[in-house]
Amino acid sequence: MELINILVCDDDPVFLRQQADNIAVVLEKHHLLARVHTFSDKSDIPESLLQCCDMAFLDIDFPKAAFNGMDIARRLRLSNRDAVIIFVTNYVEYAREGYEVQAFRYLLKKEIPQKLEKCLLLGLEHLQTLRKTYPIQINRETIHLPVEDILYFESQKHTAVAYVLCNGSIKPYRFYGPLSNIEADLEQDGFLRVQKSFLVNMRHILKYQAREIVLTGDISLPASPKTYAELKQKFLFWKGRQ
Amino acid sequence: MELVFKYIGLAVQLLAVLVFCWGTPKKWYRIALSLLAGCAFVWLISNGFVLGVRSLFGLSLWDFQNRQLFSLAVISEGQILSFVGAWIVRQIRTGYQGGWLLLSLLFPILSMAALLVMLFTYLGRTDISETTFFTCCLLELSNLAALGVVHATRKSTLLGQEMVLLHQQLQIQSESIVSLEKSYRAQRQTTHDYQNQLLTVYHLLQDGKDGPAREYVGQLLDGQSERVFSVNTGNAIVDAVVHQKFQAAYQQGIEASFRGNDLSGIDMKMNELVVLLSNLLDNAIEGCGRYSGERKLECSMILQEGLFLSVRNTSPAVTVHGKYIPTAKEPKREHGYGLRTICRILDQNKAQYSFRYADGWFEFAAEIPNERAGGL
Repeated sequence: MELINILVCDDDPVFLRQQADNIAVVLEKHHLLARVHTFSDKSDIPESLLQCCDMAFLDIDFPKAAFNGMDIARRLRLSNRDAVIIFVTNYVEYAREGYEVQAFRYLLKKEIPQKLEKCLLLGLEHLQTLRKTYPIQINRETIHLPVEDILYFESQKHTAVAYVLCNGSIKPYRFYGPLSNIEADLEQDGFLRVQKSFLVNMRHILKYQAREIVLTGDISLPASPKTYAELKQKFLFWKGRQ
Repeated sequence: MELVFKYIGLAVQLLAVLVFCWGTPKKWYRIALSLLAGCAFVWLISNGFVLGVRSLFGLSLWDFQNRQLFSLAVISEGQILSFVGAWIVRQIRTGYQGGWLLLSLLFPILSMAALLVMLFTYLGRTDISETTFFTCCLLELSNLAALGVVHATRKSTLLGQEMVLLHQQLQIQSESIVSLEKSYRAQRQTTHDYQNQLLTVYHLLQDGKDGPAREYVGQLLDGQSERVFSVNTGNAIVDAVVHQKFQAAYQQGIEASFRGNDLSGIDMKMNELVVLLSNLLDNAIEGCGRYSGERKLECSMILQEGLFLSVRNTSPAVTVHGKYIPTAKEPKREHGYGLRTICRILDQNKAQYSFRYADGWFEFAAEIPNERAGGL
């Protein structure tokens, strides 16, 4: 079982200690191996921790400081795109900044006794989804492609090509495998067969029109107009569940 | 009389051409083209009808012209039909839909059939009687009356729908005002109470009464039953509506959450946005309220290439027939309009949308075109 790194940040030292204890109780109850790091000042948080942080419980308001929880969240998001961010606060504000940093949940401080456990477990489940990989065989070597980074699969005769985001560029991986099998494996993970030769990751769809689909990186692929209505519905419902 | 009918017929045809061309963009070549098309359309229908009757009755041109009243009745019917045709084309351009179109065509078709049957009875004779001729004229004129009635009924129905929409908007705005006023009074009271509470805690601590101070603070915390939250999307309308509806949801024990980016660039009409969002959230709250399990409501509004809008709620099983969902509400005039209003607004804004029930959740998702792209 991998060690989970949990960051807790709050300007109230009493609450900070209590929160760390509450989280420890939940982790012990579910036999989860984790290290809880507590900070009351964002400048004390080392960059190395931000990079390996799996989950963060952040207070939004730091009245006596020049920063707030959003600043910490932004910094965390820059260093670590997978971290699950949960804002813990007295006053929930559904703000556009929350969307910017992909906040997972908002937890009211007075609801912590009732909701912390469920929130933490859901967060860990979400983390597993974010870190899911898809194994492919190339030259008898198994390569695990991060599902989040796969843009799309293309069928080319008897092979399939996976186009994967890698450090800002797109890297193709060619391997043997019918697209229908890949579709069956990844349908539940947000992949959509928009055309006979293309299986697309819905996370990366920027625009979906009747004959064209545009993905991250301005990649334009042809779409099947016959199945457009049905698939567009699927895409919209999937987007609503994210 | 023939001359009088000739001029009346010419006037009707001219009117038909004008009706056909009405609404053409004011560019000279578009107007010219439209006039040409209008004249051709009117000529085709008028003369097409006459030719049709002649072939149906097996009359040569000479036979037809010799039956003065008969030919007058047929020619004037052709002219009236050309006007009806031009009227229908005009209404299609302005958004007449299937049902209204059929209604507009019904009387002209039936009256034409009645006219032909009447004329048929005179086939073996030299001409129709004057009484029959005037009956034909009255039948032809009543086509115009029927068109007028259908048009007025449609306008009245649309006005009724607008009134319901307006009534809903007024209701929503009244609820917002009441909610704002309540919040303001509560805020004033809270500020007043907060000072007194702070003083109490201060005196308790000063007197060394830690235990009672802790107990007192605990009571204060327990007393805060209303969940405090706000919405800040950059769009005041969305903020106000979501805030108001979420307050109502929390009061019913519904766990509501919102996800949205910068929505300041939404270019949908304000009144439509208010009614759309309010109806969607009201329906979701109502559906959740009937659910015996965990009551959850999730709302997403993301502005990117277009405006993505999703409302999902836990709900007892619901059957969705296309755009129709059987309502469990007590019959009340506005309730049936809720979903229809949602669909109407979305259709008017050329949105792609769908409803479904799956795995214990009722889901609505839509993509609405937006000129301005969003951010964040």
